[in-house]
Amino acid sequence: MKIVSGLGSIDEYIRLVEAGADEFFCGYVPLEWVETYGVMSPLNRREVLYYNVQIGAYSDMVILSRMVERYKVPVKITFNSLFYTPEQYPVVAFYIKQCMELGFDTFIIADIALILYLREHQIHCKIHLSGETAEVNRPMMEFFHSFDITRYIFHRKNTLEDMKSCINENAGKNLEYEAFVLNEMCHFTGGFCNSLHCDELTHMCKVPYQMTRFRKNRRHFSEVEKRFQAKEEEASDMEEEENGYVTGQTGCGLCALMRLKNVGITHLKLVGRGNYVDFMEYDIRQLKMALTILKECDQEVEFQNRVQQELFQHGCSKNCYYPLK
Amino acid sequence: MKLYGVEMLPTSLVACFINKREVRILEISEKGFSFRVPERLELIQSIQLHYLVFQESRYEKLLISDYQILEEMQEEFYYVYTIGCKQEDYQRYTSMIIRDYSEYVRLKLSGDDAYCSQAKVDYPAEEDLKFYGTYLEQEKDWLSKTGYQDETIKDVLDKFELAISIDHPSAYEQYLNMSLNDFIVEYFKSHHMESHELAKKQVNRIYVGNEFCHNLFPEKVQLMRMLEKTKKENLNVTLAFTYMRDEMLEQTQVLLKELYDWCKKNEIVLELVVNDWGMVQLLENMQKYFTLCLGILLNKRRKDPRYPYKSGYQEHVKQLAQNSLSSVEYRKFLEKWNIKRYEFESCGYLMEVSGAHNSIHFPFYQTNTSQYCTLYAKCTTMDRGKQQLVTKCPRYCEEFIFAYPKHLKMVGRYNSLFGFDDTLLNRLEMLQYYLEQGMDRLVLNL
Repeated sequence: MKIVSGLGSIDEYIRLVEAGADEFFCGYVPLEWVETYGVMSPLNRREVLYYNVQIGAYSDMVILSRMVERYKVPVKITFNSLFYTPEQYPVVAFYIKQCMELGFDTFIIADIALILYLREHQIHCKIHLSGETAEVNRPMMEFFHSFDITRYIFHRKNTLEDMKSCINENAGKNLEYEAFVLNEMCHFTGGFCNSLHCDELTHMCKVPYQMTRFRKNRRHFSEVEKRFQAKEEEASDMEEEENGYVTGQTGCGLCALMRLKNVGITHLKLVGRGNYVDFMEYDIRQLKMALTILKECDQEVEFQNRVQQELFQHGCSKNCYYPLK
Repeated sequence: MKLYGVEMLPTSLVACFINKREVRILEISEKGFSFRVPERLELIQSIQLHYLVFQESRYEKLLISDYQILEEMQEEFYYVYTIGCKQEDYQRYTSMIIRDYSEYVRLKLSGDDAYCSQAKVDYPAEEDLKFYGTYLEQEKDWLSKTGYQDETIKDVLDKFELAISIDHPSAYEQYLNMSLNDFIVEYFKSHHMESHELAKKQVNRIYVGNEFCHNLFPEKVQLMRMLEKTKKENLNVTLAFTYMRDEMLEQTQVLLKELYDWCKKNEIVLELVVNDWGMVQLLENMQKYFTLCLGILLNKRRKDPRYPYKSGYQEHVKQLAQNSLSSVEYRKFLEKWNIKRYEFESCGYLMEVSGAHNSIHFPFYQTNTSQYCTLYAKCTTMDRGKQQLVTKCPRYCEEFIFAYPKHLKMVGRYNSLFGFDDTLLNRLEMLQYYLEQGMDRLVLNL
C-alpha cells in the first residue's frame, strides 16, 4: 500500500518525499478564482484564506512539476468541490488543462457534473473519484465506470466489509482503491457536509451543542441517562510529545492496516494540508514505520501489538477510523 | 537578502503578479518583498500586488512603480528576486495585511472559535450559550407564530401541489392507524400549525421514507401496508430513499423488485427519491413504473444557518443561487437516467430552479449527515465522534436530539443536522418567486 499525503505548499514537497510519501494531493487555486468566486464558491474543499493549504500561483505549479520530474513522486490535483456552476465548468476545465500541460495528469473530483463536462469536452485526464462524492457501493462504481475512473477513494464512513465487496466485484479491472488512514476523522460525511469551512466561522461540527430530549417526560432510555450521570471526565492516557505531536490525534487507522491490505486497499490517504509540516513529516514516518511492521507480521494481533508498542509509546488517540466491533 | 518581514504569507491574503503572471511571495515587509519564478526574468514590465480586504470581501490591486531589484538569486528549482519598495500605498497596504494576519493568528491562539468569529464578523458569541430545554419547546417557538399576512395566499397556494413528508417509524404507524383526514389534522396540530393557511390546503401527496438515515426507512411490511392505504385513499406517494450502504444492496434489490411488481399489478407509476448513484444504476431498467427524483443529498448546495455572518455574504449571496443543476448538459444526463424531478430545500437564500418538475422542502434543510449515527455514538459512548455503523438501531432519535444555540435555528436529529428556514411559511412573495421559477410542489417536512 502506498502513502498518499496532503501537500499544502511546494516548499514541503522534498521534505515529505524524503520522509517517505509515495504520492501527494494538493489544491491549485489561482487568485483569479478567489477574486471571482472565492468568497462563496471555493474551488476545492479547503476554503480558508488565512492558511497555506493551496498552491496559488501557476508559476509554483511549474516549479512543482520540475520537482516531480526530479523526485518521481507524483502529485494529484484536487478540484473536489461538491458542485460548481455552469459558468465555472469551463474555468475549472481550463485549470485542469493548464495542469495537464505541465505533466499533472490526475485529478481528484467529486462533482459528477464536472466529470461529465470533462468527458464531453474530450479532456482525457485521469480521475480519482473523491471521497467527498457520495456513498460508495458496487452499483455506484458501475455507474461511474463509464467515466473511466482510475481510482475510487472510499469515504471516511465506509466499513472494511463494504470496501471488500466493492473491490472484489471489480477484480481484474485494474482499479486503485484509497482509504483514509490518518487525521481529520470528521463527525459528518464529506459528501453530505454542506456547511461552511471558512476562517471566520468554526466548522459546523464544532458549534456548541447539548444533547437534550424531544419532550420533558419521555424517558425510555434509562441506560443513556445512567451513562450521562456516570460520565466523568476520563483521564486520558494519551500524552503529547514535547512538541505537541500525537500520531492520529484527530483520526487514526494504523491498527487497521492489515485489514485494509487484506480487503485490497492500494493507497492510504494521510490528510492534513495546512497542518504543521513537522507534524505531516512525523505522520508520514509513523505510517511508513507501521507499513514496515506490517511486512514483518503475519497475524493481526501481533501487528497491532507492535504498532501500539513501537508507535504509541505515549498512548494512542483512540480516535479509530476502523474500530474493531 | 533578509527583509525581516513575514515569510510565506498565504497567497490568498496577498498575491503578486509579475508581467501579469501570478507568482509566489516568499517574504513581505514594509520595506519590500521577495518572490520566486521558474525562469530568470529578462525584464520586469509590471508588478501588481493584490491585497485581501477581508472586511469588504474584495481585493485591492496596487501597481508597484517605485521599486528597485535588490537581489536576484538562483535556487535549485527557481529564481528568487528581492524587491525594495518605498511607495507609500505599498507600505500602507502591506502593513494592513500583516496586521490582519497577525490579528487572526492571535485570535485563533488566544480564544475559542466563537470569540474569533465575534472579532472577525461580529458573530454574537454570547448567544451561543442559550439553548432550548426540549425539542417541543423549540418547535413551538419556531412554528406557532408562522403564517402569511396576505389575503391572496389561497390563489398562490392553489397553484402548488402540497405534500407532507413522513420520515420516521412513529409517523408511519400514526399514518397507518388513522384516517387520512385525521392524520393530516393531527400532523398540523402536533406541530403547532393548526391555524396556518397550509393546514387548510388539501394534501395531495405524502413522501414516505427518510432521505438522510437508512435506519429510518419503513420496514417492508409496514411500507406495503402504507402503499395499500395510499391507494385506497387516492393519495399520491413518493418513496424517499437515502444513501445505500453496500451491505444493503441485496435487500434493496429485493425491495425494489417487490415495489415494481406492486406497481405493475396496480398499474401505478411510483415516484422514488434517489440519494445514491448506485440506486440510480439499479433502477436503470425499471423506468416503466418508477420515475426518479434527484434527492437532497445529490442536489448539492451550500447550506449553513450562519451564512448571514459570513464575510461578503450580502454582496455575493446571488452566487449561491446556482448549482450543477443549472447546467443544461447535466440535466440532460439526469433525464437519460429517468431523473425527472429535483428536490430542493428552502435554505435561507434564493435559488435558481431549472428543471421541468421541482419540489421544495421546508421549513427544515439538511446541512450535515453521517452514515454512522452521531446520536447513537453520543448515547452509547458519550462522545459524538466515536461513531460506528449502527446495525440494530434502538431509535434513540425518538427521545433525544442535539440542541443548538437558539439564535442559529438549527437542530441535530438522528445522524444529521438541520437548519430551520421559515421563509415559505411566512412570505407569500417567496412562494410566488418559486412558482415563477418552475417550482410546482411544496413538501412540508415538520
